[in-house]
Amino acid sequence: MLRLAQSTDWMVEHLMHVEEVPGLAYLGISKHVLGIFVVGLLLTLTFVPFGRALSRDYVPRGRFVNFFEVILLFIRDEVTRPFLGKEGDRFLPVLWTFFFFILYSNLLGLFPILPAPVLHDGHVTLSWSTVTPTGQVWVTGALAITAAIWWHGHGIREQGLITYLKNIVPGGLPVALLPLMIIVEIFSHLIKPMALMLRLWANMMGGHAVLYAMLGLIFLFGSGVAGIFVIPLSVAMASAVYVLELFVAFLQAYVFTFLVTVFLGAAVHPDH
Amino acid sequence: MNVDLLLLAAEGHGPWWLDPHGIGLAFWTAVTFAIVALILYRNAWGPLLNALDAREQGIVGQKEEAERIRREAEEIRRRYEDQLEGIRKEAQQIINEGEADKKRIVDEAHARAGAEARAIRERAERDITLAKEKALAELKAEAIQLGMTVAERVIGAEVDAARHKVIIDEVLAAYERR
Repeated sequence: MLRLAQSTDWMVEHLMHVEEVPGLAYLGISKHVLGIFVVGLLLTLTFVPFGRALSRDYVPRGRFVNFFEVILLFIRDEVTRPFLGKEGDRFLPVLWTFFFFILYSNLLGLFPILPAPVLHDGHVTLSWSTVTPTGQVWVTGALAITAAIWWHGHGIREQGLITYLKNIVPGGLPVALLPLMIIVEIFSHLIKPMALMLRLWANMMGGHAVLYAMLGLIFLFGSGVAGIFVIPLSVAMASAVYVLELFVAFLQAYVFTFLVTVFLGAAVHPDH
Repeated sequence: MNVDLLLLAAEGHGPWWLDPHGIGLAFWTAVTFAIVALILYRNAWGPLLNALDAREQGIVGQKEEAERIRREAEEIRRRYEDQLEGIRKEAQQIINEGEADKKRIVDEAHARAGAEARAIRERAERDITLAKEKALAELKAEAIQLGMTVAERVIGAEVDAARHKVIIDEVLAAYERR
Protein backbone atom coordinates (compact mmCIF):
# COMPACT_ATOMS: atom_id res chain seq x y z
CA MET A 1 0.00 0.00 0.00
CA LEU A 2 2.86 2.29 0.86
CA ARG A 3 4.57 1.47 -2.40
CA LEU A 4 1.37 2.24 -4.29
CA ALA A 5 1.07 5.60 -2.56
CA GLN A 6 4.73 6.35 -3.26
CA SER A 7 4.31 5.34 -6.84
CA THR A 8 1.25 7.53 -7.26
CA ASP A 9 3.07 10.45 -5.68
CA TRP A 10 6.01 9.95 -8.01
CA MET A 11 3.69 9.84 -11.01
CA VAL A 12 1.82 12.99 -10.04
CA GLU A 13 5.06 14.76 -9.24
CA HIS A 14 6.59 13.70 -12.53
CA LEU A 15 3.55 14.72 -14.56
CA MET A 16 3.00 18.08 -12.90
CA HIS A 17 6.59 19.09 -12.24
CA VAL A 18 8.18 21.74 -14.42
CA GLU A 19 11.92 21.30 -14.36
CA GLU A 20 13.98 24.48 -14.53
CA VAL A 21 16.90 24.71 -16.89
CA PRO A 22 20.00 25.48 -14.85
CA GLY A 23 21.13 29.05 -15.30
CA LEU A 24 18.12 30.11 -17.34
CA ALA A 25 15.39 30.03 -14.71
CA TYR A 26 15.46 33.81 -14.35
CA LEU A 27 14.36 34.00 -17.98
CA GLY A 28 11.53 31.61 -17.25
CA ILE A 29 13.19 28.89 -19.29
CA SER A 30 12.17 25.46 -18.12
CA LYS A 31 12.44 22.07 -19.75
CA HIS A 32 8.92 22.59 -21.10
CA VAL A 33 9.89 25.95 -22.60
CA LEU A 34 12.85 24.24 -24.24
CA GLY A 35 10.33 21.74 -25.59
CA ILE A 36 8.29 24.60 -27.03
CA PHE A 37 11.42 26.06 -28.63
CA VAL A 38 12.18 22.65 -30.13
CA VAL A 39 8.62 22.48 -31.45
CA GLY A 40 9.08 25.89 -33.08
CA LEU A 41 12.40 24.80 -34.54
CA LEU A 42 10.98 21.54 -35.87
CA LEU A 43 8.01 23.37 -37.40
CA THR A 44 10.37 25.78 -39.11
CA LEU A 45 12.63 22.96 -40.30
CA THR A 46 9.62 21.08 -41.64
CA PHE A 47 7.58 23.77 -43.31
CA VAL A 48 10.13 26.24 -44.64
CA PRO A 49 11.51 23.60 -47.08
CA PHE A 50 7.90 22.63 -47.76
CA GLY A 51 7.06 26.24 -48.69
CA ARG A 52 10.21 26.56 -50.80
CA ALA A 53 9.34 23.38 -52.68
CA LEU A 54 5.91 24.80 -53.48
CA SER A 55 7.38 28.18 -54.42
CA ARG A 56 9.51 26.47 -57.07
CA ASP A 57 6.66 24.46 -58.51
CA TYR A 58 3.02 24.60 -57.57
CA VAL A 59 2.63 20.91 -58.36
CA PRO A 60 3.38 18.94 -55.18
CA ARG A 61 6.20 16.53 -55.88
CA GLY A 62 7.63 13.91 -53.57
CA ARG A 63 6.36 12.16 -50.47
CA PHE A 64 7.41 14.93 -48.09
CA VAL A 65 5.39 17.68 -49.76
CA ASN A 66 2.46 15.41 -50.53
CA PHE A 67 2.27 14.04 -46.99
CA PHE A 68 1.97 17.45 -45.40
CA GLU A 69 -0.20 18.89 -48.13
CA VAL A 70 -2.75 16.11 -47.60
CA ILE A 71 -3.05 17.07 -43.92
CA LEU A 72 -3.18 20.80 -44.67
CA LEU A 73 -5.84 20.36 -47.32
CA PHE A 74 -7.80 18.07 -45.03
CA ILE A 75 -8.00 20.91 -42.51
CA ARG A 76 -9.03 23.31 -45.26
CA ASP A 77 -11.66 21.05 -46.82
CA GLU A 78 -13.06 19.29 -43.77
CA VAL A 79 -12.70 21.92 -41.04
CA THR A 80 -12.48 25.44 -42.40
CA ARG A 81 -14.61 25.46 -45.53
CA PRO A 82 -17.70 23.75 -44.04
CA PHE A 83 -17.86 26.51 -41.41
CA LEU A 84 -16.34 29.55 -43.05
CA GLY A 85 -16.73 28.87 -46.76
CA LYS A 86 -14.08 29.69 -49.33
CA GLU A 87 -13.56 33.15 -47.88
CA GLY A 88 -12.42 31.45 -44.68
CA ASP A 89 -9.22 30.42 -46.47
CA ARG A 90 -7.65 33.66 -45.21
CA PHE A 91 -7.78 32.22 -41.68
CA LEU A 92 -6.00 29.05 -42.69
CA PRO A 93 -2.42 30.13 -41.89
CA VAL A 94 -3.23 30.60 -38.20
CA LEU A 95 -5.38 27.47 -38.04
CA TRP A 96 -2.66 25.41 -39.72
CA THR A 97 -0.13 26.82 -37.25
CA PHE A 98 -2.39 25.90 -34.32
CA PHE A 99 -2.81 22.36 -35.65
CA PHE A 100 0.86 21.65 -36.24
CA PHE A 101 2.07 23.51 -33.16
CA ILE A 102 -0.19 21.36 -30.99
CA LEU A 103 0.53 18.19 -32.95
CA TYR A 104 4.28 18.60 -32.66
CA SER A 105 3.96 19.48 -28.97
CA ASN A 106 1.87 16.38 -28.38
CA LEU A 107 4.27 14.15 -30.31
CA LEU A 108 7.36 15.61 -28.64
CA GLY A 109 6.37 13.81 -25.42
CA LEU A 110 6.45 10.48 -27.23
CA PHE A 111 9.98 10.71 -28.61
CA PRO A 112 13.09 11.24 -26.46
CA ILE A 113 14.67 13.83 -28.70
CA LEU A 114 14.95 16.78 -26.33
CA PRO A 115 18.52 17.53 -25.22
CA ALA A 116 17.67 19.02 -21.83
CA PRO A 117 20.42 20.41 -19.59
CA VAL A 118 20.18 19.07 -16.06
CA LEU A 119 22.06 20.02 -12.93
CA HIS A 120 23.64 17.03 -11.29
CA ASP A 121 26.06 17.33 -8.38
CA GLY A 122 26.88 20.92 -9.32
CA HIS A 123 27.53 20.03 -12.97
CA VAL A 124 25.32 20.77 -15.95
CA THR A 125 24.93 17.86 -18.33
CA LEU A 126 22.75 17.26 -21.34
CA SER A 127 20.19 14.53 -21.05
CA TRP A 128 18.04 13.14 -23.85
CA SER A 129 14.54 13.21 -22.52
CA THR A 130 10.92 13.68 -23.42
CA VAL A 131 8.66 16.53 -22.52
CA THR A 132 5.08 17.16 -23.52
CA PRO A 133 4.54 20.93 -23.59
CA THR A 134 0.79 20.43 -23.99
CA GLY A 135 0.81 18.35 -20.80
CA GLN A 136 1.14 21.67 -18.90
CA VAL A 137 -1.98 23.71 -18.37
CA TRP A 138 -0.06 26.99 -18.75
CA VAL A 139 0.90 26.00 -22.27
CA THR A 140 -2.58 24.92 -23.33
CA GLY A 141 -3.96 27.99 -21.58
CA ALA A 142 -1.63 30.26 -23.55
CA LEU A 143 -2.70 28.60 -26.79
CA ALA A 144 -6.39 28.85 -25.87
CA ILE A 145 -6.12 32.52 -24.88
CA THR A 146 -4.14 33.31 -28.03
CA ALA A 147 -6.88 31.63 -30.05
CA ALA A 148 -9.61 33.50 -28.15
CA ILE A 149 -7.92 36.87 -28.71
CA TRP A 150 -7.56 35.98 -32.37
CA TRP A 151 -11.19 35.02 -32.97
CA HIS A 152 -12.55 37.95 -30.94
CA GLY A 153 -10.21 40.26 -32.85
CA HIS A 154 -11.52 39.00 -36.16
CA GLY A 155 -15.11 39.23 -34.92
CA ILE A 156 -14.58 42.89 -33.97
CA ARG A 157 -12.77 43.57 -37.24
CA GLU A 158 -15.58 42.02 -39.31
CA GLN A 159 -18.54 43.57 -37.48
CA GLY A 160 -17.17 46.57 -35.66
CA LEU A 161 -16.85 46.76 -31.86
CA ILE A 162 -20.38 48.01 -31.11
CA THR A 163 -22.11 45.49 -33.38
CA TYR A 164 -19.89 42.73 -32.05
CA LEU A 165 -20.80 43.57 -28.46
CA LYS A 166 -24.47 43.82 -29.42
CA ASN A 167 -24.31 40.41 -31.02
CA ILE A 168 -23.08 38.82 -27.83
CA VAL A 169 -26.73 38.26 -26.93
CA PRO A 170 -29.18 36.89 -29.52
CA GLY A 171 -31.52 39.47 -31.03
CA GLY A 172 -35.25 39.64 -30.22
CA LEU A 173 -34.95 38.79 -26.53
CA PRO A 174 -37.34 40.37 -24.00
CA VAL A 175 -35.64 43.25 -22.22
CA ALA A 176 -36.17 41.59 -18.85
CA LEU A 177 -33.99 38.68 -19.91
CA LEU A 178 -31.12 40.81 -21.17
CA PRO A 179 -29.14 41.14 -17.89
CA LEU A 180 -29.28 37.40 -17.35
CA MET A 181 -28.39 36.62 -20.96
CA ILE A 182 -25.49 39.05 -20.94
CA ILE A 183 -24.05 37.28 -17.90
CA VAL A 184 -24.65 33.86 -19.48
CA GLU A 185 -23.05 34.89 -22.76
CA ILE A 186 -20.04 36.46 -21.03
CA PHE A 187 -19.59 33.20 -19.14
CA SER A 188 -19.88 31.26 -22.38
CA HIS A 189 -17.15 33.42 -23.91
CA LEU A 190 -14.92 32.74 -20.91
CA ILE A 191 -15.73 29.05 -20.90
CA LYS A 192 -14.81 28.54 -24.56
CA PRO A 193 -11.05 29.10 -24.12
CA MET A 194 -11.18 27.29 -20.79
CA ALA A 195 -12.73 24.29 -22.51
CA LEU A 196 -9.98 24.38 -25.14
CA MET A 197 -7.33 24.65 -22.46
CA LEU A 198 -8.65 21.90 -20.20
CA ARG A 199 -9.55 19.43 -22.96
CA LEU A 200 -6.10 19.46 -24.52
CA TRP A 201 -4.23 19.49 -21.22
CA ALA A 202 -6.32 16.74 -19.62
CA ASN A 203 -6.07 14.49 -22.64
CA MET A 204 -2.33 14.79 -22.94
CA MET A 205 -1.68 14.48 -19.23
CA GLY A 206 -4.22 11.69 -18.87
CA GLY A 207 -2.58 9.66 -21.62
CA HIS A 208 0.81 10.03 -20.00
CA ALA A 209 -0.65 9.13 -16.62
CA VAL A 210 -2.00 5.89 -18.06
CA LEU A 211 1.36 5.21 -19.69
CA TYR A 212 3.18 5.78 -16.40
CA ALA A 213 0.61 3.68 -14.54
CA MET A 214 1.20 0.77 -16.91
CA LEU A 215 4.95 1.00 -16.51
CA GLY A 216 4.55 1.65 -12.79
CA LEU A 217 3.14 -1.85 -12.38
CA ILE A 218 6.68 -3.12 -12.98
CA PHE A 219 8.01 -1.21 -9.94
CA LEU A 220 5.08 -2.27 -7.80
CA PHE A 221 4.78 -5.93 -8.74
CA GLY A 222 7.77 -6.64 -10.98
CA SER A 223 10.07 -8.15 -8.38
CA GLY A 224 10.24 -11.87 -7.76
CA VAL A 225 8.20 -14.51 -9.55
CA ALA A 226 5.31 -12.12 -10.25
CA GLY A 227 7.65 -10.10 -12.46
CA ILE A 228 7.67 -12.91 -15.03
CA PHE A 229 4.02 -12.18 -15.69
CA VAL A 230 3.78 -8.53 -14.73
CA ILE A 231 6.71 -7.15 -16.75
CA PRO A 232 5.68 -8.50 -20.21
CA LEU A 233 2.05 -7.62 -19.54
CA SER A 234 2.99 -4.13 -18.40
CA VAL A 235 5.24 -3.51 -21.41
CA ALA A 236 2.56 -4.82 -23.81
CA MET A 237 -0.13 -2.62 -22.30
CA ALA A 238 2.20 0.39 -22.25
CA SER A 239 3.01 -0.20 -25.92
CA ALA A 240 -0.69 -0.32 -26.74
CA VAL A 241 -1.28 2.91 -24.83
CA TYR A 242 1.71 4.45 -26.61
CA VAL A 243 0.09 3.71 -29.99
CA LEU A 244 -3.15 5.13 -28.65
CA GLU A 245 -1.24 8.24 -27.55
CA LEU A 246 0.03 8.69 -31.10
CA PHE A 247 -3.57 8.70 -32.28
CA VAL A 248 -4.65 11.03 -29.47
CA ALA A 249 -1.85 13.45 -30.43
CA PHE A 250 -3.41 13.86 -33.87
CA LEU A 251 -6.97 13.78 -32.57
CA GLN A 252 -6.46 16.51 -29.98
CA ALA A 253 -4.66 18.76 -32.45
CA TYR A 254 -7.61 18.25 -34.79
CA VAL A 255 -10.22 18.88 -32.05
CA PHE A 256 -8.50 22.08 -30.92
CA THR A 257 -8.30 23.39 -34.50
CA PHE A 258 -11.87 22.34 -35.19
CA LEU A 259 -13.24 24.11 -32.12
CA VAL A 260 -11.22 27.26 -32.80
CA THR A 261 -12.73 27.25 -36.31
CA VAL A 262 -16.23 26.87 -34.88
CA PHE A 263 -15.70 29.72 -32.41
CA LEU A 264 -14.12 31.85 -35.11
CA GLY A 265 -17.10 31.17 -37.38
CA ALA A 266 -19.48 32.24 -34.60
CA ALA A 267 -17.46 35.43 -34.04
CA VAL A 268 -17.16 36.34 -37.70
CA HIS A 269 -20.65 35.24 -38.81
CA PRO A 270 -22.92 35.57 -35.75
CA ASP A 271 -26.03 35.04 -37.90
CA HIS A 272 -24.96 31.49 -38.85
CA MET B 1 35.78 30.23 -15.79
CA ASN B 2 33.79 27.10 -15.22
CA VAL B 3 30.53 27.20 -17.22
CA ASP B 4 28.72 25.35 -14.46
CA LEU B 5 29.66 28.03 -11.99
CA LEU B 6 28.48 30.73 -14.35
CA LEU B 7 25.17 29.00 -14.74
CA LEU B 8 24.84 28.50 -11.05
CA ALA B 9 25.60 32.17 -10.51
CA ALA B 10 22.78 33.05 -12.86
CA GLU B 11 20.35 30.99 -10.83
CA GLY B 12 17.44 32.85 -9.35
CA HIS B 13 14.10 33.94 -10.62
CA GLY B 14 13.25 36.87 -12.82
CA PRO B 15 10.00 38.88 -12.91
CA TRP B 16 6.69 37.25 -12.05
CA TRP B 17 5.63 36.97 -15.67
CA LEU B 18 8.68 34.80 -16.34
CA ASP B 19 8.01 32.33 -13.55
CA PRO B 20 9.32 29.08 -15.06
CA HIS B 21 6.74 27.06 -13.14
CA GLY B 22 3.75 29.13 -14.16
CA ILE B 23 3.04 32.10 -16.30
CA GLY B 24 6.54 32.08 -17.79
CA LEU B 25 5.48 28.92 -19.62
CA ALA B 26 2.44 30.72 -21.03
CA PHE B 27 4.55 33.73 -21.98
CA TRP B 28 7.10 31.70 -23.92
CA THR B 29 4.36 29.59 -25.48
CA ALA B 30 2.55 32.67 -26.80
CA VAL B 31 5.80 34.31 -27.97
CA THR B 32 7.02 31.15 -29.69
CA PHE B 33 3.66 30.57 -31.28
CA ALA B 34 3.54 34.13 -32.61
CA ILE B 35 7.09 33.91 -34.02
CA VAL B 36 6.46 30.50 -35.58
CA ALA B 37 3.16 31.72 -37.05
CA LEU B 38 4.96 34.68 -38.65
CA ILE B 39 7.82 32.55 -39.99
CA LEU B 40 5.46 29.96 -41.37
CA TYR B 41 3.11 32.57 -42.82
CA ARG B 42 5.96 34.08 -44.81
CA ASN B 43 7.79 30.90 -45.72
CA ALA B 44 5.25 28.09 -45.79
CA TRP B 45 1.57 29.00 -45.69
CA GLY B 46 1.94 31.95 -48.05
CA PRO B 47 3.71 29.88 -50.71
CA LEU B 48 1.22 27.06 -50.13
CA LEU B 49 -1.80 29.36 -50.58
CA ASN B 50 -0.17 30.88 -53.67
CA ALA B 51 0.55 27.41 -55.01
CA LEU B 52 -3.03 26.34 -54.34
CA ASP B 53 -4.34 29.44 -56.13
CA ALA B 54 -1.95 28.90 -59.03
CA ARG B 55 -2.93 25.25 -59.18
CA GLU B 56 -6.62 26.14 -59.11
CA GLN B 57 -6.16 28.71 -61.86
CA GLY B 58 -4.04 26.22 -63.79
CA ILE B 59 -6.73 23.58 -63.48
CA VAL B 60 -9.44 26.07 -64.49
CA GLY B 61 -7.30 27.19 -67.45
CA GLN B 62 -6.60 23.61 -68.46
CA LYS B 63 -10.27 22.78 -68.15
CA GLU B 64 -11.24 25.74 -70.32
CA GLU B 65 -8.54 24.80 -72.82
CA ALA B 66 -9.78 21.21 -72.81
CA GLU B 67 -13.34 22.49 -73.34
CA ARG B 68 -12.19 24.67 -76.25
CA ILE B 69 -10.32 21.75 -77.82
CA ARG B 70 -13.36 19.53 -77.30
CA ARG B 71 -15.58 22.09 -79.04
CA GLU B 72 -13.09 22.36 -81.91
CA ALA B 73 -12.91 18.59 -82.18
CA GLU B 74 -16.70 18.45 -82.16
CA GLU B 75 -16.82 21.05 -84.95
CA ILE B 76 -14.22 19.15 -86.98
CA ARG B 77 -16.09 15.91 -86.42
CA ARG B 78 -19.36 17.53 -87.53
CA ARG B 79 -17.63 18.95 -90.61
CA TYR B 80 -16.11 15.60 -91.45
CA GLU B 81 -19.44 13.91 -90.97
CA ASP B 82 -21.03 16.42 -93.37
CA GLN B 83 -18.25 15.81 -95.87
CA LEU B 84 -18.63 12.08 -95.39
CA GLU B 85 -22.36 12.35 -95.95
CA GLY B 86 -21.74 14.32 -99.17
CA ILE B 87 -19.18 11.77 -100.31
CA ARG B 88 -21.57 8.97 -99.46
CA LYS B 89 -24.31 10.61 -101.50
CA GLU B 90 -21.91 11.22 -104.36
CA ALA B 91 -20.74 7.61 -104.23
CA GLN B 92 -24.34 6.44 -104.19
CA GLN B 93 -25.06 8.62 -107.20
CA ILE B 94 -22.06 7.17 -109.02
CA ILE B 95 -23.21 3.69 -108.13
CA ASN B 96 -26.71 4.47 -109.36
CA GLU B 97 -25.32 5.90 -112.59
CA GLY B 98 -23.13 2.85 -112.95
CA GLU B 99 -26.09 0.62 -112.40
CA ALA B 100 -28.05 2.53 -115.04
CA ASP B 101 -25.12 2.39 -117.47
CA LYS B 102 -24.71 -1.29 -116.82
CA LYS B 103 -28.40 -1.91 -117.45
CA ARG B 104 -28.29 0.20 -120.57
CA ILE B 105 -25.19 -1.57 -121.90
CA VAL B 106 -26.61 -4.97 -121.08
CA ASP B 107 -29.90 -4.06 -122.71
CA GLU B 108 -28.11 -2.75 -125.80
CA ALA B 109 -25.95 -5.86 -125.90
CA HIS B 110 -29.03 -8.00 -125.53
CA ALA B 111 -30.80 -6.10 -128.29
CA ARG B 112 -27.75 -6.25 -130.55
CA ALA B 113 -27.19 -9.92 -129.87
CA GLY B 114 -30.87 -10.64 -130.49
CA ALA B 115 -30.81 -8.76 -133.76
CA GLU B 116 -27.65 -10.50 -134.85
CA ALA B 117 -29.05 -13.85 -133.85
CA ARG B 118 -32.21 -13.14 -135.76
CA ALA B 119 -30.22 -12.04 -138.79
CA ILE B 120 -28.04 -15.14 -138.59
CA ARG B 121 -31.08 -17.35 -138.23
CA GLU B 122 -32.83 -15.67 -141.13
CA ARG B 123 -29.73 -15.98 -143.23
CA ALA B 124 -29.38 -19.58 -142.24
CA GLU B 125 -33.02 -20.23 -143.04
CA ARG B 126 -32.59 -18.52 -146.34
CA ASP B 127 -29.48 -20.53 -147.07
CA ILE B 128 -31.27 -23.69 -146.06
CA THR B 129 -34.22 -22.82 -148.29
CA LEU B 130 -31.93 -22.04 -151.17
CA ALA B 131 -29.95 -25.22 -150.56
CA LYS B 132 -33.12 -27.16 -150.30
CA GLU B 133 -34.48 -25.67 -153.49
CA LYS B 134 -31.18 -26.28 -155.22
CA ALA B 135 -31.07 -29.83 -153.94
CA LEU B 136 -34.65 -30.36 -155.03
CA ALA B 137 -33.87 -28.95 -158.47
CA GLU B 138 -30.81 -31.13 -158.76
CA LEU B 139 -32.80 -34.08 -157.53
CA LYS B 140 -35.51 -33.23 -160.00
CA ALA B 141 -32.99 -33.03 -162.85
CA GLU B 142 -31.35 -36.25 -161.76
CA ALA B 143 -34.76 -37.91 -161.47
CA ILE B 144 -35.70 -36.71 -164.98
CA GLN B 145 -32.39 -37.89 -166.35
CA LEU B 146 -32.80 -41.19 -164.58
CA GLY B 147 -36.38 -41.50 -165.77
CA MET B 148 -35.29 -40.75 -169.33
CA THR B 149 -32.55 -43.29 -169.13
CA VAL B 150 -34.92 -45.89 -167.75
CA ALA B 151 -37.56 -45.03 -170.28
CA GLU B 152 -35.07 -45.28 -173.14
CA ARG B 153 -33.96 -48.66 -172.00
CA VAL B 154 -37.53 -49.84 -171.44
CA ILE B 155 -38.96 -48.66 -174.69
CA GLY B 156 -35.74 -48.94 -176.57
CA ALA B 157 -36.37 -45.98 -178.63
CA GLU B 158 -35.11 -42.50 -178.97
CA VAL B 159 -37.41 -39.96 -177.54
CA ASP B 160 -37.19 -36.51 -178.94
CA ALA B 161 -37.18 -33.37 -177.00
CA ALA B 162 -40.84 -32.57 -177.35
CA ARG B 163 -41.75 -36.03 -176.32
CA HIS B 164 -39.35 -35.63 -173.47
CA LYS B 165 -41.12 -32.62 -172.34
CA VAL B 166 -44.49 -34.23 -172.36
CA ILE B 167 -43.34 -37.28 -170.53
CA ILE B 168 -41.55 -35.23 -167.94
CA ASP B 169 -44.54 -33.11 -167.27
CA GLU B 170 -46.71 -36.15 -166.88
CA VAL B 171 -44.30 -37.81 -164.48
CA LEU B 172 -44.01 -34.66 -162.50
CA ALA B 173 -47.73 -34.23 -162.36
CA ALA B 174 -48.08 -37.79 -161.19
CA TYR B 175 -45.30 -37.28 -158.70
CA GLU B 176 -46.87 -34.13 -157.35
CA ARG B 177 -50.26 -35.76 -157.10
CA ARG B 178 -48.77 -38.48 -155.04
